[in-house]
Amino acid sequence: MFHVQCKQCGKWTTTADGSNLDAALSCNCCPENHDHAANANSCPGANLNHPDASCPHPDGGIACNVVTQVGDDCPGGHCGVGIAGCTVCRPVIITLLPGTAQMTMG
Amino acid sequence: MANMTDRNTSGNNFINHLLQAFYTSSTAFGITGGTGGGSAFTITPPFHLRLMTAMAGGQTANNTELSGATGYTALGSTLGSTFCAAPTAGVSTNSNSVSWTAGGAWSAVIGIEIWDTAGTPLRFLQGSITSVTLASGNTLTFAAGSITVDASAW
Repeated sequence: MFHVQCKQCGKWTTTADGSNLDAALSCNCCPENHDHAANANSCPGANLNHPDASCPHPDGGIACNVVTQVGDDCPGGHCGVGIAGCTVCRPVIITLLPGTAQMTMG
Repeated sequence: MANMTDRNTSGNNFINHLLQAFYTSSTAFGITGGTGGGSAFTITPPFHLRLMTAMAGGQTANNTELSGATGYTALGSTLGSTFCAAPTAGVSTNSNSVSWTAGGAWSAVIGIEIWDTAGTPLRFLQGSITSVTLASGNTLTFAAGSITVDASAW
């Protein structure tokens, strides 16, 4: 059993289906009709911390917690929560609850 | 064929003693068999939790560890100085939580393995989990109590 919680607003749910945990949780952080992971994986700076990647969002912004901490200016100029076209999806915390993983010797 | 298990806690409590020795100790220790008892071996905490993307090896061979995943380091992360609290009725669970945060999209994690931290680490436990895939920025946490070691599954 998984506990899924939005890092931005703290809303959470539980589910036994791990196939798309980003879609298992709905919250009000983003006005777009997509799940928590829809655009985060396509961010050109994700996984790179923007050393050489160009960011498609020139407006500047804060609250990117894909490659920077909440509250820090994003070097790629990401938009923020509630801004149309924002590619900074709100990541989630996925927690395996007690009793979820059964081990065998080996 | 008789498949034997024993979680009797009113008798010699043998299985609880074994589980506690293996998974509650915070220091390395050795076990030396008597005559004909096989080779001596050492158990070296702390144990590490490793994430697996394929479980073809099952119980008899090492499975495939997650690789190329930013935020995850090969050979896993520590389960703390003491892996499990003292067992009850032949069942132990992990005492500490373990977390990783994905710096990019991760492959699906479908299993876990638990290894000690000897110079050449030894695998002690393995098991499948419900497949979970992380998007960039997501955090995966194994809560305390989420990993069960049950003597009946030996």
